[in-house]
Amino acid sequence: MSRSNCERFEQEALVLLEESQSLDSHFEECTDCQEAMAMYRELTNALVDVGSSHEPHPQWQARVWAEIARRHESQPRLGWRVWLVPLGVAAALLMVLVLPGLLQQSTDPGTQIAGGVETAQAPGLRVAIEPVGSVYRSVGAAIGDRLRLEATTGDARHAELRVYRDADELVLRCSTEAPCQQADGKLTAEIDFPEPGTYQTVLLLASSPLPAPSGAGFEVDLDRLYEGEVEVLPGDQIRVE
Amino acid sequence: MVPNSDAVSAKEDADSATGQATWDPEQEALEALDRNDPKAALSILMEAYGQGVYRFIRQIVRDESMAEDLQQLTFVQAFEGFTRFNRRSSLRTWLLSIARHRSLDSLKSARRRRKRFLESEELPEAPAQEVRADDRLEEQSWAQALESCVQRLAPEARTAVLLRFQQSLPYSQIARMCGEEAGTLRVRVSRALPKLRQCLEGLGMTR
Repeated sequence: MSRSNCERFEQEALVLLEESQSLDSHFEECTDCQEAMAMYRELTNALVDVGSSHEPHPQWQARVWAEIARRHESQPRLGWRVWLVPLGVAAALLMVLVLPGLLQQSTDPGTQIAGGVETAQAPGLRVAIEPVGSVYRSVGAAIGDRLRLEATTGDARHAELRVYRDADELVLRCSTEAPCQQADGKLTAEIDFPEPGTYQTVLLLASSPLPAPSGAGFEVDLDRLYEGEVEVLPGDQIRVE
Repeated sequence: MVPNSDAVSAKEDADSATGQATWDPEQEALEALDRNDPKAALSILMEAYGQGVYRFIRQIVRDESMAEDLQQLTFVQAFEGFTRFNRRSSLRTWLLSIARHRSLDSLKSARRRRKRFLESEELPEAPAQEVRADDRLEEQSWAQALESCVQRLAPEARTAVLLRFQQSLPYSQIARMCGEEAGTLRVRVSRALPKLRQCLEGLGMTR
């Protein structure tokens, strides 16, 4: 792979080609550039197959299923509660359609949210959305709507509320400090939805200090939380338009 | 929990019926998710993209054992994350995004671990494959040399080159995956290619 004397191809043409832009006449007339073009064409074609000689472990799929089974078995607390989320959402929708007046009431007299849409959650975490301007909205949310979280932490020594946006950005994280508040055995927090996206609410409970967020998103944080034997109670995913 | 073989059988039926590959794993996996069958979806994705994901990861982390673990972790997390998949990208792009995140995290973790035991401030990455001068012409094939040179690129450049050429992704998808501007990635790739050329020349690989 010899180096040509004219360096314009490397210095100029490569990025132009990556940008799908046309090249000027120099690159057709210059012998060095033509050779460079052929060389880089061969190089980029070869990159398509780079590493193709390597094969994954022959039992890799079985290992994936085994790990999924192991994780499923190690989270018994989450098992039966998973069903409460869709059941709770169904119950909330039923109330919206049949008994609209009940929207103004709360099952907990101390947490009435007027004009809000409340989604029932797994035990420990309740989520409510208060539309901006008190405009009734049956499902979903919009920028500026207020997300209210109320968690019962039981006898957990360490508790934390988190909200992730698009599984990457941690937009809320608190325990005893603002924006969280603790009172009467409940942990509460509020944020206004700042941007469109899918928001995932989570309550974390543990007997030892909770792992700090990784900064690499919800999935990586989940790995760390499960390794730390943290009880993870996910709330609803809320789509904000 | 056992793997779902129905998805794989569907592929075989489609291939035999038409005499050629007409399998659309993206569509089939999405349909499996729509009917709330994540196991079938995962089976389809592993069959369709497992090898490509592994080779992508292998080139990033440069370690066979680590690549195997990360490949498996990618699909485990995909299974756990199906409910969060928002369909703004293809499933393949989504898988590669998970793989990329896990791979770069592993590189950072490995780097921190090495730094803990070494006192040097500027710690270069562990060399990919040491190639002695007398090995160059006789033992290194051109493909092996190219693989070695790709692994010597800085992690971000290596990832961009792999996504662009090995995985044949458009810059728009790479940009979304990496959280960077497409223009930045184009420049990064165009600057990485001469480095590959220089590396190959250094290994005595001329064509």
